[in-house]
Amino acid sequence: MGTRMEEALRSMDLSLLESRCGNELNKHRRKQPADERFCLEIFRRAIAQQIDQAWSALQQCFGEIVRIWLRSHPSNDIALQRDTEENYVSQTFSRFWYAVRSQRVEFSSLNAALSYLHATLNGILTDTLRSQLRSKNVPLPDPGFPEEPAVEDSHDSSVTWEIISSLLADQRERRAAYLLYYCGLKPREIVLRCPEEFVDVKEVYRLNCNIVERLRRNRDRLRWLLGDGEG
Amino acid sequence: MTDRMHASALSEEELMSVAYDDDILSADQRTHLEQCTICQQQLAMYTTTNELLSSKLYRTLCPSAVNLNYYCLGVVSEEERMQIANHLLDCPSCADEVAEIRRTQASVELYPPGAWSPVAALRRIFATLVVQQAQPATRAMTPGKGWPRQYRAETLDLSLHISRASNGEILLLGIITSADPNEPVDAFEGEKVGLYLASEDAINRVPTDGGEKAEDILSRFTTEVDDVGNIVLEDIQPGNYVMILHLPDREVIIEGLNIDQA
Repeated sequence: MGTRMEEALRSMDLSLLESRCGNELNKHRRKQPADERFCLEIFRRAIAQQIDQAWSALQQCFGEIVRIWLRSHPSNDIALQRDTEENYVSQTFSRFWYAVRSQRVEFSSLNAALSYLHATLNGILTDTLRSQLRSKNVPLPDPGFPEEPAVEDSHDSSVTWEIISSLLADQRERRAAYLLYYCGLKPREIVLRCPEEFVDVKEVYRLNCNIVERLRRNRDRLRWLLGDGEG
Repeated sequence: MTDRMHASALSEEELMSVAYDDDILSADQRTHLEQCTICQQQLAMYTTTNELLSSKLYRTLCPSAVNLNYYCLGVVSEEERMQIANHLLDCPSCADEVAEIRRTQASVELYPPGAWSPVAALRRIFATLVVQQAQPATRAMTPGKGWPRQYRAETLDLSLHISRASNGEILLLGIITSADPNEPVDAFEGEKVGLYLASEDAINRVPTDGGEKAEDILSRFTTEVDDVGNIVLEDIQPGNYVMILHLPDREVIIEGLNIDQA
């Protein structure tokens, strides 16, 4: 971009920029040639210059697009059982801000900026689905209540894995435990997905029995994981 | 209580298969399980332990899905890229997610048509040319090229015409009225009007010789509607323009304003 045009864009009133950005987005929608510099200038002011008003303008300009992406996501019905549309849009911009702020990202194209924004939303929704799968066997309290489980458990994941690993007999048991509990695969899925490692589902069942026995024998070291009960 | 040494008693592996709803039991074994409290307790222990472990450990060693999306987009650091690539070798669940993310990223509609909801559409209204004033017919004349012109956007009517000042400057004059009887004549007083070079013209207009202030290229032609709905834009340079009326609850956009020297 020419320096003088760059200067012109940088001195342009934000409300006019916002207006032009909307106009150009509309052209994109109609598959017409569009000038994306107005939109990119809003991104630049919001991210590189960290101007609050520009950040608000950015959310104003692109919030509706994020909302439509959310509505067209194949798992949006599951995600919307856990949180509102508005909160997902808000989370998307917050997480996007967190990601680009540290790197002072300056987008070279509007496609790049929107791809980044879409990736953020898609990731948030997938993380929500993971969380849903994690808790599918545990009754969920109502959102916002004090007993609601934290998204990230306070126990360090890698430390827990080190403890579990140390209690298991060999690499084969560790691998089976990893696939069963960390990846959430059922024994038959393990045989299907990792045929070069496990050919017989009975072996996976046997390994699983051994894993459970070993961990329960050491439940004093895994109390947070297995609880105190004798069951 | 039934003895697990019974001929039909289930092995630990068989009980574990039942814990995963993987029914490999014979009819005799099923009958045994219905009657044997020891087997039932063992099964309950397997089921509970599996559920507890899964609910606490599931995907806790995996990169977040947001980071997997960034990885697929190629915007993570080199160190993180290596970590995720190594993780993918071990984790079928993340490998599945990455495959799905790549499919999604390849097919995403970045400018979804639905983004222009009725609410959004209300904010930006494209005016339509409704009356082409009679002009002397010439072979060069094409519809929508002559002046004056009249546009309509919902209840708003806008007449635009070109004039020339005594010093030769081109003036773009307009008058805005409303067909809504509840809207008084001064309803638009003070509202901002902008005349912007169409994108292709703006690019070509950036001066390279320093003869004209660059910021003027984008923001010079602005004015306000007066108390009787008049719009006056002075010293217009020939070019292709877009006019935007910035009203409180909507923006009216008039495209295709081609102003030439003649």
